[in-house]
Order: sequence, then structure tokens, then C-alpha cells
Amino acid sequence: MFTLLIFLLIFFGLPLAVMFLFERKLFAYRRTIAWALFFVYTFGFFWDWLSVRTGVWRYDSAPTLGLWIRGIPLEEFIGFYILGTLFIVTVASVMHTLFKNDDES
Amino acid sequence: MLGELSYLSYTFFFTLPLLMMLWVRREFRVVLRRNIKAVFFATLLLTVYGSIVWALALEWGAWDYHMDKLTGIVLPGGLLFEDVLWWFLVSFLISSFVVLARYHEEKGIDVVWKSIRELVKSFRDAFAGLYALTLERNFAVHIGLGVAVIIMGIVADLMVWEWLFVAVAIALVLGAELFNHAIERLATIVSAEHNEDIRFIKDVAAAGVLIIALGAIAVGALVFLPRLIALFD
Repeated sequence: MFTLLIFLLIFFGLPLAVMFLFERKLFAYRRTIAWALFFVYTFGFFWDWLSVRTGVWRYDSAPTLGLWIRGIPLEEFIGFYILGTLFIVTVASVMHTLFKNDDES
Repeated sequence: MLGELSYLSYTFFFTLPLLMMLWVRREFRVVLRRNIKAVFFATLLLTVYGSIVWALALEWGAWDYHMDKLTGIVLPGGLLFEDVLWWFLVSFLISSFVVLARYHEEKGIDVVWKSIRELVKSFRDAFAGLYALTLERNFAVHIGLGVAVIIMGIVADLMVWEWLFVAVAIALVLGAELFNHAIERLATIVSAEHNEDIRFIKDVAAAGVLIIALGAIAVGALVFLPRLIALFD
């Protein structure tokens, strides 16, 4: 059941939770995170919708929660749009902290 | 329509323009180049992780592709070429954005909001420049002619492709007139007295307007003359 949701929780939610536990400071950059989410929910959604609409990919191959918005299941909005984006942003943020140029500060 | 290039085309279409916005602007590029290691390793790590996760997603059946929309290129490990490229470009884009936004946020600047404000200001300045259209007799003549052509087009029930030519011709004439006016104004500031070089520059600018106006007349003739002739026949 809920293959997509479980999948997204395991591969994005779990590593994100681990990163959150170890380094909460990474989540202090609220504007950066907010804009990233904004772009994913606008451009990203349009891209996803276009891909589903023109038949590049489909989400109905596995059981979902059953709630759909424009051909995209709800768990994609919660799972990938939020957790996936936060995961990518956090990894980039970790790298930025690791390789931060001393000239900046 | 795009067939097997669909996935690939969408990936380029949604990422490359945004990447250009981040990397072409000098002010941003300086920050990004200074933090290139962070961008590189984040992109590398995310591309490897994401590509494997995406392959697993297909294995699990979390989602599915229509294979006729993909090139069919499979990389070692059973990874789809499009998936790897998707992760590479998306990771590169988001990593670049995060580095840039974080750098500015640490300085108390909202870089996106700042860019939006700059864009709005440049549009506002450009619209303010339209005021120049009211300054010269030539502008009044061109605007009058433009309106007349539009009315004629509506009456003649032009086709879409004909409207395209007419609209571009009108825009080119008005745009050229504005450039010409700007050059004339600049020339007057540089040298108010008689100067042969300034005169040559002004003549060349005026000649540019003339060529565009002649082109616009040719477009008008090609679009409207056959209809006028048919009317008299």
C-alpha cells in the first residue's frame, strides 16, 4: 500500500531527519528554503504536470492515497515537493558549510 | 510532438534558462565561482544518490515512464540516461541557488526579492521612456499610421501570420524611432555646436529608421495591396 509515499519517506524523509538531528543550524536559512519550495511548487509543479499530461511519466502504476491534483497524487506534493526539496537544499547547504570560502566571512 | 526526446527536452527547458540566470550575471557568478567546490560536490553527491533512488523507484513501481518518450539510452547499472541528466541538472541548479541565496541571506539580503525589485524597476524605467513618444512630430505620425494599419487589419480580417508581420513591422518602426531619438538627444548633449562627426552619427541613425520604415511599407503593401486590388476588381 501507498508505495510512492513509503518510497519518498524512506529515501528523502529519513536522510532528512538524520541531517536535522545532527545539524539543526542548516535549517536556519529560512528564506533560502522558502524560495526553493516556492520555485518547486510553481515551476516544478508545472514541469510535473506537463510531463504527466504529455505522457512522459505516470503515477498510477502503484497504489496511492487516492487524492489527485491535476493528475499528480497528493503524496508527490508532500513527499517529493517538500521532503525531496528539503533534502536537496540540505545536502547543498552541508556542502556549502564544508567548503565555505574563508574570504566570505 | 517531441517523441523520444520529450523527457530530455523538458529537462533542458526547465533547467537551462534558470541556470543561465544564475551563472551569466557577473555579480552572481563571482559568488558561485568562489564556492564552486560546494556546488560541484553537492551536484555529484545528489546525482549519484538520486539516479540510484530513481532506478529503485522504477523497480518498486512507485512511478512509470512511457518508454516511447525516452531515448532508450541505458547507462551501466541499469540507470536511465534521462534520469541521470535530470538529477545532474536539477542538483546543479538547486545547489547553485542554495549557495547564492545562503551567501546573501547571511548578509541580510533576500536575493530573489532583490532581483524581482530590480526587474520591476527596469520595466518601470522602460515604460517611463515611452514618454518620449509624445515629444516629436515623427512619433505622432508613426503612432497614427500604426493605429490606422491595425484598424485596416481588423476590417480586412487578416490571418494570424499576416498579423504577425504587421505587428512586428509596427513595433520595429516605433522602436527604431525611439533609438533614433535617444541617439539624437545624446548627440545634442555631447556637442551642441556643429560637428561633422555628430552630424554623420545622426544621419546614420535616421537612415536606420528609414530602412525599417521602408520595410514596414513593403509589409503593408504585400498584406493589404492584394485585398485592395480585389476590392476594385
